[in-house]
Amino acid sequence: MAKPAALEFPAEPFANFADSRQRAAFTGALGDVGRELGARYPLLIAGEEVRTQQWLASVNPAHPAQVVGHAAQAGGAEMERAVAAAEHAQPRWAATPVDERIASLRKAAGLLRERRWWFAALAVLEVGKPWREADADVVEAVEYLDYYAAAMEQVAAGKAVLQRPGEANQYRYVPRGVCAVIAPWNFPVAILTGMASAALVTGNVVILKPAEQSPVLAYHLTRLLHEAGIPADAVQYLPGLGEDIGAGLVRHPKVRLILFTGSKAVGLSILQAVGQPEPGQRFLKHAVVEMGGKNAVIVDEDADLDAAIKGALVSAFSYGGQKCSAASRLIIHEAVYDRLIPRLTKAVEGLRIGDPASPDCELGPLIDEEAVRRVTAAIAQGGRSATLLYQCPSGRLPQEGYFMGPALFADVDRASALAQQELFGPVLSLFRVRSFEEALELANDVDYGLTGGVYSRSPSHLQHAIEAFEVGNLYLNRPITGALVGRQPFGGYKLSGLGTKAGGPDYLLQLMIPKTICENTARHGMPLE
Amino acid sequence: MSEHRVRVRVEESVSLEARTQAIGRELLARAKQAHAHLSSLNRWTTQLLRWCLADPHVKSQVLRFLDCLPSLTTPRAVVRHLREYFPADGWRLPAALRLGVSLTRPGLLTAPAVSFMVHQLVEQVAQQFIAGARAEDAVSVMQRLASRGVRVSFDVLGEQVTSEAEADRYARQYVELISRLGAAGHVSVKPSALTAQFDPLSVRESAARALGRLRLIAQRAVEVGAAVTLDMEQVEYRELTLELAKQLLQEPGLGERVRLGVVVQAYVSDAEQAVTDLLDWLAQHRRRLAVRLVKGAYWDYEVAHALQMGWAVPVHRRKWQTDRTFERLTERLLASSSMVRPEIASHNLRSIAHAMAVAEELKLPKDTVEFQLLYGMGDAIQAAVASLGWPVRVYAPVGELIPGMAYLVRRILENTANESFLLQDFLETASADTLMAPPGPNGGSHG
Repeated sequence: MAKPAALEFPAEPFANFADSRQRAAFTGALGDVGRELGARYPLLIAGEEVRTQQWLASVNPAHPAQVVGHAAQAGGAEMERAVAAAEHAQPRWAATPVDERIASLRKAAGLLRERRWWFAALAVLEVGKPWREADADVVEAVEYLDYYAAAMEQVAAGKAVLQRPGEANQYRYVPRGVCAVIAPWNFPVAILTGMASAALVTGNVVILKPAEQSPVLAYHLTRLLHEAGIPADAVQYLPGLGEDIGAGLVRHPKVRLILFTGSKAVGLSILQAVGQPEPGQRFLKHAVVEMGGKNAVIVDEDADLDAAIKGALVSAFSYGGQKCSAASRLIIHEAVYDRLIPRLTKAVEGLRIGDPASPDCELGPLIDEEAVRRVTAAIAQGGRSATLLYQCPSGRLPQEGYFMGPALFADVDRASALAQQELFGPVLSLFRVRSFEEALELANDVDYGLTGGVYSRSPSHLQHAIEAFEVGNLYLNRPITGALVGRQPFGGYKLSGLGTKAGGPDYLLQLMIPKTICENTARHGMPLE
Repeated sequence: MSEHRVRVRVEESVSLEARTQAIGRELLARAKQAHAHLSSLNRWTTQLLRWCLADPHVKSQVLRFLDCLPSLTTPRAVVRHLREYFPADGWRLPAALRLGVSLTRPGLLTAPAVSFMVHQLVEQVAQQFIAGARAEDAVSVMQRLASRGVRVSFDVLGEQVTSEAEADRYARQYVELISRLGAAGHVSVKPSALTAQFDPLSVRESAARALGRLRLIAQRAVEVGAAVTLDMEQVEYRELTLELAKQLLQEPGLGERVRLGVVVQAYVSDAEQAVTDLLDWLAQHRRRLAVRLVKGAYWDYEVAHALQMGWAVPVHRRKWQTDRTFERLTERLLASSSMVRPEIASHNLRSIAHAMAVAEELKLPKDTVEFQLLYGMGDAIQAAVASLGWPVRVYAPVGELIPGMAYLVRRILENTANESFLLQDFLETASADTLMAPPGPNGGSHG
């Protein structure tokens, strides 16, 4: 069977920071964003700026006294207004020619491309991403816009079905309806833009509920979508508390589609809510939930240790481990364990921790105080049942900000929280195994199945991993984070998600309903074509 | 420009071309003579390169297998990997290896015997390109080459540096090596191994981190009278590497005394601009540098990396463009020999002859320029260049096989590219016209 061609789209290059002009552009953008700090951002309901009684302060995690912006906090009344406006807008947006919807996405991609430094700089300040991470976040968003635009061109016409004389059969896709996009803070540009643009291009109107930690980026992205030609009532901005607005949208009888990326607990509660129709709800809701991971990287006995060490550092500690794709377990063959561990420990010690606004920073702060408390508690608890091999001394951390140095654990009990629960922080647990088979078993012995990695130079072991490693995204001899749109479609299974793949050829199909039309073209039994 | 001056320039270039041709033919004749009594490649290296040239798939598998071999600690592991990389039913398996694999199957040969054979083979290949496993070997290598009138620059092969402790060890090895070598010593240092945090995003800070260790190496070199060249690695490190050199040259008490060298890679598309900037800086700061002009050894990486990242490919796509840039830069550097000491590092007879012709035209004494070649490659060319009275230096790596494998794989890739000169036996077969053709669009491609 011939392999179908991959979907081509205009990929956005990453910043090349070896180029001094690009470094200067980024520095300039940090200055620009810095001059706009502290502004107030109203809700955007059907194009109207709505100011509320309560405001959320979004602070710079590296300098918590610095308020990046104040976002209006929606309550139940605002949510009802937004849903009503969305319901009103839905038929018109669905009837908008698909070419126009596609063109809007491409226009948005162009606008975001023009402003990429500005958005990346804002991500540095609002969520504490180092330059490269912030840049990658924006690049991914641009690519989602262009990729889903190209993908929609392919599915817009539906799919071919069998035809027989006297009947005309059609198989096409129609929008589901009002969509709540509940976005996370860890990829505040990419994931929000990806989920929203996929919903929009498929003809669903969107209510955006950004994370409480990144409402300012979400506001500007909403404005950008409006500027690109998407009507103000087709994409609305509704920041608020997750437990109020997030939960409220999920249960709302007029919300048909929920796109969520976040924790396992919230994801599972969404799936539960989706299964229980509210009074007055006349359809089955559909939810696409992408949850966490307890991702493992295996280092085989014949691995390239230089590459494995560098890959483990990136996988476990880039953005402080605050990625659902991040590695939190390193499973090492006993033949190389004793050689690897001292080198890895020294390498972790050398990570440059600091203010991510500085170009000389690899590891910035965690997102907020709660994250610091959670990770600190996990390290304290982990220390009771495992060996704390390394923890960054607090003296090496900046005085202010939500900083948390990296930690390494050895001799970890395989049933313990360290081995089983997602922590979303810079903590890596090390496991020693006697064989590659044992490594794979251990890797699979968790609830999650998102990403996984193998460093091995044995073709048969790599093949074994391909067949047996239960993860949505498997990476061989490279880091396990940094999936690229259209190249490594991203998403997990088991308790990590439903197997949907963001940035992949099947994603848009999740957001639509296939509709079959069969017309009798005969008259009096005579086929008339 | 007046018509008269145009004519003069044209005549100059005509005569330069004529001299290049004449010198090239002389070099070729001398290389042929030397070739008769110098073995160019040892038997297993020739064999291995032939396998690789015969089939691109075999080449990939051979290189992947070689890459992992040093990490295999037991004979069983060697045999298992051999079988996995070269399945017995594959007709592509080189005969000698096929024999090894098929004989171990019925138990005619033991795994240790096969493993031994494989290691023998690979060590032979390594010996072709790597001067020795230990730093102690360097002194005897230097003496052996000196007896042929050839100087040497040593590169200590090391694992990739992943921590500052490893960078310390890397620098210490160089300090010890320089002490052993003394005044004739010449070393080539990888800047990215001078700190685990060599990041082009933070040029100043990264250079400062590397500078501490480079300073130790440079101080020892000044003490014994040795010279240090900063190797050039991937293009993304270029600015950073030059910044490091500049910082060292500005060190009080050290900057004006150190015999420092940097490398210019002609395959980088904007190499000429980079040389202009460097010469300006040297003039402004009244410092001298040795400048090794190379074509560049990371071509495949640069192309693949740029395409992965969505960047413009930073290197010339066609080989003739690189060759032409190399000649232009040769002219620039030789004309600037008051500020730089030009080192022409190429195995290409045309490039070498052109540099000699330029030096003649500029009436430079022969010892203002040095010709550099890689250890184990082109001994006949070395001999020919030396016999004409020009200084010759070989670049010789020393180190264990595990860290050396990356270097070895690069050399094998280079020598199995279409243009490989080692296996073409060009000294016997290729015509002088082909070898000496000026670089132009009708030449071959890279890679």
